[in-house]
Amino acid sequence: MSGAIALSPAVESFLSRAHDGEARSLLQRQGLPQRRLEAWRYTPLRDLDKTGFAAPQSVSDEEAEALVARLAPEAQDGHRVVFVNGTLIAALTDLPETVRVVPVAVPLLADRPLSVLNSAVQQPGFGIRVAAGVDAGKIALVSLVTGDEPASTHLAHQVTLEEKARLTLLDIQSGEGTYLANPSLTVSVAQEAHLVHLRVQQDSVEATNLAFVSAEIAEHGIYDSFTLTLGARLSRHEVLAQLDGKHGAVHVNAAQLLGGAQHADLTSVITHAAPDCISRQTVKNVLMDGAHGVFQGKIFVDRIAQKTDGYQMNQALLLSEKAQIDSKPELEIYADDVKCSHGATVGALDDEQLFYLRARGIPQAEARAILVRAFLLDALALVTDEAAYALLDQRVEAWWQKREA
Amino acid sequence: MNDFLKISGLCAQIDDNGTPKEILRGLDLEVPKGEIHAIMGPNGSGKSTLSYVLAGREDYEVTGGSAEFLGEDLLALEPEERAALGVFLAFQAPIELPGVNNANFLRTAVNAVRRARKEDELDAVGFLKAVRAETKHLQMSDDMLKRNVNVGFSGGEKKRNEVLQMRMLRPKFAILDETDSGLDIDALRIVAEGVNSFGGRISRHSSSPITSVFWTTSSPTVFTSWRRARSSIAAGAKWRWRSKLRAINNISRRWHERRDRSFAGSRVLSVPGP
Repeated sequence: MSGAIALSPAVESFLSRAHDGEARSLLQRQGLPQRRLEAWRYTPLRDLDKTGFAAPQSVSDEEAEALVARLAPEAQDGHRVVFVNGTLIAALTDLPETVRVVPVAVPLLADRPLSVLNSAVQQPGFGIRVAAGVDAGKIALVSLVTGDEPASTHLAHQVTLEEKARLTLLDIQSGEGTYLANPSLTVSVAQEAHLVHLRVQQDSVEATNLAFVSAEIAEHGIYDSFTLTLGARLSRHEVLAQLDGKHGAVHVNAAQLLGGAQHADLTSVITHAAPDCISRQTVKNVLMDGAHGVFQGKIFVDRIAQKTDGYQMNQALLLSEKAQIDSKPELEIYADDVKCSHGATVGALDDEQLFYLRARGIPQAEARAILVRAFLLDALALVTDEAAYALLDQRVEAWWQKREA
Repeated sequence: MNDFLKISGLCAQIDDNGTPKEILRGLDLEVPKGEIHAIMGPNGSGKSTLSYVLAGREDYEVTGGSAEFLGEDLLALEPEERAALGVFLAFQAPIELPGVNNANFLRTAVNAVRRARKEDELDAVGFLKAVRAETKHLQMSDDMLKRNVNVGFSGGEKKRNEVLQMRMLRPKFAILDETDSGLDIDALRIVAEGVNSFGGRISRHSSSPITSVFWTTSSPTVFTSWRRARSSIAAGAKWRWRSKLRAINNISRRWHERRDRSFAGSRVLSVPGP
């Protein structure tokens, strides 16, 4: 079923820039997803629809460098790939010799509106291949947007890890002003390969971020992801992960910290298509003011995927009366010998805990911060890379300080 | 003239499923510097309510009366301001804080209080030194500092942790809300010694702030000799802080033989039942 309506300014602007025929006609037929689609019930794109999005202007290397210093200071040194306004900034890019840059060739997923949108207006992004047995270390993928007029970027990235290869991808998305960032990342993890994907989305509070990740994990492969969502007025992080070989593991962990009128949606579909695989999901939401969090997590277990071990937990801390969370955990299981659990909790800060801290002399704001950090810990502690953990921790701390100020 | 703690006509109520329930009905109490007071009474008589109201818990609505501490209107202060001023409440049921490291919690609290008192904050090394001295005294393992606050602690460990916090925060006035309840004899001895040596040390040095203590207790029926002590208290006898410790320490030594000697000096407030 399509939720098509008359073409909105947003769709018009994307169509005028579309270069992929199939994606273009799908976009034309379907428009942007509407509330009537079950998968989009909680995240309407009404406001986005009212805006036309131009192709972004280009920036100089100097401007790009200043922007990185401002918005992604963690990526000022070390291996990195920098995109500003959808364009690769070669002068700021430095890749290890152990990785091979390859052209991006990602499949169009017709039933995934974000894949369709990305394919239609696609900009070539970061395409790399890590050869068998190579540990490529850590690479920062920095995607920034800036400009005065509403513009949109549709970068398509592709990361392929051959057998026993390893990589930590630090994916930082940020920007200034009103824009739409619509990146896609296609991940392929071969046998015994290990990809750590740490994503920080701290887009401008007037921006929209619609991100799409599709991952395939082979035997004994690991895709370990963590997303920290702090930015954007409206955002959706959609992850499709498929476990194709025995003993694969996928982690889709996240923390969403939102205030004001922010809306953030984490939607994931984890498909167990092979036996003996593990999937883990711990998603925490801290919602202030009139913020709205959405979690839609589905674990699909195929008939052959015996001995599946799936765990999914979604928790929300509501720090205001107006904050809201929609949580939809789903299990669809066709195998008969599996261990799958899921849970969701919603609550406010515990008054007793708060009083206990204050009775020990800790001022209210600091006491609240301590309890919020404690709430996030289960999720953040899943990031085992110390430097990455410190980065996330700092971003969380800075966000909180700014909020409380 | 007492300018330490003066409670006059204190009335407080709690919201009991929509209907206000009056718990304190005009309590008058003066605690001068350096005294130990035991607040006794059956369940529901308001011992814990009094403790919470003095510490600043918001669930209790003060409907009348006043409480002045060191010349300040205690009831007008936030809980953290009361702590900085020197009020400490050892909780009857210490709260668990999953995800909050005990050492970090303690250091944050100590430094918050030091900041408010215009003292220099302790750095990591200074803090560790200070806390190690105390944990050794309380026979607490370092492991308890590494764990989350009160999470998975036994009853005795929780109470010891309260006493540790008290000693680190150096209050002028400590409220021990049934800190003795639910402890076995050994744990009680350690906790009591922790409290006692603290009070004792301070009172020996006249330049130090003098701590007064409330010890609330409902029915410590576990201890035969303590039951005797309680009956004496209920009869209005006066007792000294150390007497209780002696009571605890000498349970096996027929403490009651000495009770006449040990009950000299302080006062006991027996709160009537509801």
